[in-house]
Amino acid sequence: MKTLVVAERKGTDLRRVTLEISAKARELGEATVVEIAGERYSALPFVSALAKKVESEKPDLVLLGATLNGRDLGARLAARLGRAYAADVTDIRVAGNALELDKPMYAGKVRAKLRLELPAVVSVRPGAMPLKEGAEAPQVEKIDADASAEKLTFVKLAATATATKRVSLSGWVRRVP
Amino acid sequence: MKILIPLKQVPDSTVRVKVAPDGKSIATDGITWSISPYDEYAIEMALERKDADPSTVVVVVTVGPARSRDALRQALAMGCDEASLVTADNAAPLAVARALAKVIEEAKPDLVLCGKQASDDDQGFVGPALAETLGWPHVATITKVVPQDGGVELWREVEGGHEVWKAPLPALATVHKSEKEPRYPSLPGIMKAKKKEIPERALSALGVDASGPTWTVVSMEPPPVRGGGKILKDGDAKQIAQQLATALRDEAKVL
Repeated sequence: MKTLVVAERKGTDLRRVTLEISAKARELGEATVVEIAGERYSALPFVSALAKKVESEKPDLVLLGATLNGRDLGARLAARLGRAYAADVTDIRVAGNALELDKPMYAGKVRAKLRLELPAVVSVRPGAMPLKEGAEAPQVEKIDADASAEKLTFVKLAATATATKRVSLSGWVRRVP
Repeated sequence: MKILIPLKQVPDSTVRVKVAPDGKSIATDGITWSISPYDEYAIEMALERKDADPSTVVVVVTVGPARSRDALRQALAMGCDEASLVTADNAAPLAVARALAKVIEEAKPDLVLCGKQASDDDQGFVGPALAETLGWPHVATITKVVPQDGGVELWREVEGGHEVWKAPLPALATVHKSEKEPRYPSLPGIMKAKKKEIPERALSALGVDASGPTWTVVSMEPPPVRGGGKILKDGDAKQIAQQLATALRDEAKVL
């Protein structure tokens, strides 16, 4: 099975969920990892660039992290491509020409096993597929966002005063013995 | 401004959701149904706009089974002006988006607000899919909308603050939170809502096919039974913090 993974960064580092889904994609078959370069995420420019990549690569599965942007991008992309879509899954298995997915539903009160026909778009819950020891960092191909597709104007970033008082946990993984 | 909110009727958040005997769905006999919580935020956001500018018209619509009518009645009771129902049983998500697009083409709202995701499937698909079907721009997870000359300012909550975007109208946004908590229907609101007509059409009457890419449920299970808690007490604060961090990383897998 051929998977196109959509990578995300936090600052300069690849997000951990990107590493997790890249490893999963390699486990499931052939994987290409792309990052859409743009100043910030916006649906139309990102969907447009990604749709072109899907057209040329023809992956069976497009895989994203179920992050704030990943969930949005995955949904609009699936609609553009007319592909089946599942958000925030916790496991993926190949089942013939389809995928079997584990997905929590009803605010976690139910665990569902779903069958999703390929081709599909799936977003994965961060942390659901933990990295194994010594997992290789993926090769990431950069593609440009399609600025001509944009219909919005970015005005500004309004920082929340309280945000600066938060302790970032992102460094903890490496510091815990 | 005319604001349209597509809403979804879901099991109420207080319902103790149980798997049905078929093992592939949830038991729905006698449960309470409600407007999906994030859709309530979307309705509240629209009604706050209406409070600020009484010329605002707020319209709700749902694509779903006949019982969804009750959710529309609830929205009218909160203060929405009009409601309509498109009846469909098990329509594929893209079919729902297409049906909503047809309703929107007729209703011609300036702004469409959707809850960011429904509390049953947590998909967050219909909002972006609807924007895509309409060919409109959209911003996801907003907490504020501010009308401007020639458009609206949409405040999108992100890590550490808000991205502020300007959209030309018509536009669509998915809502994470409104400024205030969703209002309770007032008694006059409930009485007024009882008298309002809620026009109904079948999905097929809109020329939309219910089929489309979707999943099939293989099985549904309740979550695993919770294990006991653990008390960390050996050592000083620093050592306990170390043990906690290790447990959070290795056992709970949340770091």
